[in-house]
Amino acid sequence: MNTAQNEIAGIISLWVAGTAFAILMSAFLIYFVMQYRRRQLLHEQQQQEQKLLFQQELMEIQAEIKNESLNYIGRELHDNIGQMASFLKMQVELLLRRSDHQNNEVLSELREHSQSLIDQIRALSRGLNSQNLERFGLIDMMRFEVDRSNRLGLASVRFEAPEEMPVLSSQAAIFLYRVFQELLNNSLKHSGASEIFIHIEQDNEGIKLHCQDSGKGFDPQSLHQGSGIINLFERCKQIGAELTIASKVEGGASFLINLPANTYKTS
Amino acid sequence: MSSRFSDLIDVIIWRFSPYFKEFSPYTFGLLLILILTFYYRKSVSADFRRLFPLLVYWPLSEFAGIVFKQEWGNNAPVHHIYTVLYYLLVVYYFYPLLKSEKGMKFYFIASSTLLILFAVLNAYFFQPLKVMPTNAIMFHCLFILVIALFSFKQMLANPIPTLLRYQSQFWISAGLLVFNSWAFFFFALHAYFLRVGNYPLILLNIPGIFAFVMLLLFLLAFWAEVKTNHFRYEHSAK
Repeated sequence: MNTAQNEIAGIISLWVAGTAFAILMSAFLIYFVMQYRRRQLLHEQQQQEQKLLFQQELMEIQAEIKNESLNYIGRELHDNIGQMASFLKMQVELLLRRSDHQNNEVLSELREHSQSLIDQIRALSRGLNSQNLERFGLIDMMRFEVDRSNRLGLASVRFEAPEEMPVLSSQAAIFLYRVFQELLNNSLKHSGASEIFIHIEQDNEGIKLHCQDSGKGFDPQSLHQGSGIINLFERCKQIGAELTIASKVEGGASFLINLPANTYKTS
Repeated sequence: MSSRFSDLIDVIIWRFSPYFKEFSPYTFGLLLILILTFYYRKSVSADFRRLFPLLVYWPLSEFAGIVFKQEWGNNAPVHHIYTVLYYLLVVYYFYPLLKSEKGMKFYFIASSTLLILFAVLNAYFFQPLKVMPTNAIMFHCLFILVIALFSFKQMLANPIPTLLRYQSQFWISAGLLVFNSWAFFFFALHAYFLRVGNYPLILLNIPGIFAFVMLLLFLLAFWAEVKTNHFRYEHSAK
């Protein structure tokens, strides 16, 4: 092989090697762009998951704080205001024993009002304090609420529930109870219904809480952030329950909460 | 005062106009980026601003190369200095971006020192000042390629939500990667020809094409800066 041939061979080798190297670098650039996009998506997904987790924890904390506050108010009502009402009633009874016939009627009426006040405070305190759930059980607590609502006379509330309920985790029991209170109070306050029917069903799949009223209804599309029903949705999402609403203007409203069995089983 | 200034400009134009004609076409692209970066220096990010010395140095060395070629018939001495300084300015741009990466501080210091030493020894023993320092240029290209690859590695490890096309670091790294991978090859060819015989003049102009591509990518880096909120905010506040 002469010098010229050597030169050409050298040039060709360099050309091949150089082109291969440059093509490799360009291919790397394309690979990088694809990898970067993939990692970016993964990163975004992780951030989204963290955000969701944070929101869920925040909601749990909010629910816990709310529950603790209600417990505190319930205890204060029972221990403080309830005791003052009892004392008031005792004083009235004392006065009634000492008084003449002229004041008896007024004092008797006052005594009845005092008793009614004590009953209302006791019922309210019981309803607010979720610790009573362990003491009385979920269904009995719901019955107390229904009785209290019926005593208010705003609407006729009917309640049906199975005699036996599965053992619920305390989180699930508080959830069902608070949701039940929210639904009942919403119907009493906003629907203008004369009849409210609440029933609970339980089977292997889970627990269903159904609340129907004969009120003025609403357009489910017009719900806005911060409304009680949106909060209900949030509360359901938090525990893994499903809320279905069926309502139309002037057509009453129906709320169905489906709590799957895996969300309330105690460990 | 103003007439003295215009006289000075006239003298400069008269004195240097023969050299301006010799500028490579890509130098005008370079000047465009330089002017844009200078004009919007308060609006571009601090990272991008560190590219400015390189953008100033590059056309200056091009100009010096032309002067040397016309006055002494050889621009190789400029390349001896250009190779080292250019690399140091690339390091200046990338140092804050990559210093947190493991081993990068060492790499920057070691490669810079090595290149300086090699350039001096190469000029003294192998390729004197009148010869194109292809050996040093090949090292310079390789070192820059490593930096560009580490820059990509760093970007992959820390993905940010901003789209890749709006990240100036990506375009600058891509520009350096494309140019230096081809330049390495052409200077290897150049080195080979210096050894075996005549270097075809057409090959001298080919790196210019890739320099043009690199400048285009640098222009995209500037565009990426414009597209970020940081740019809009500061510019509107001016």
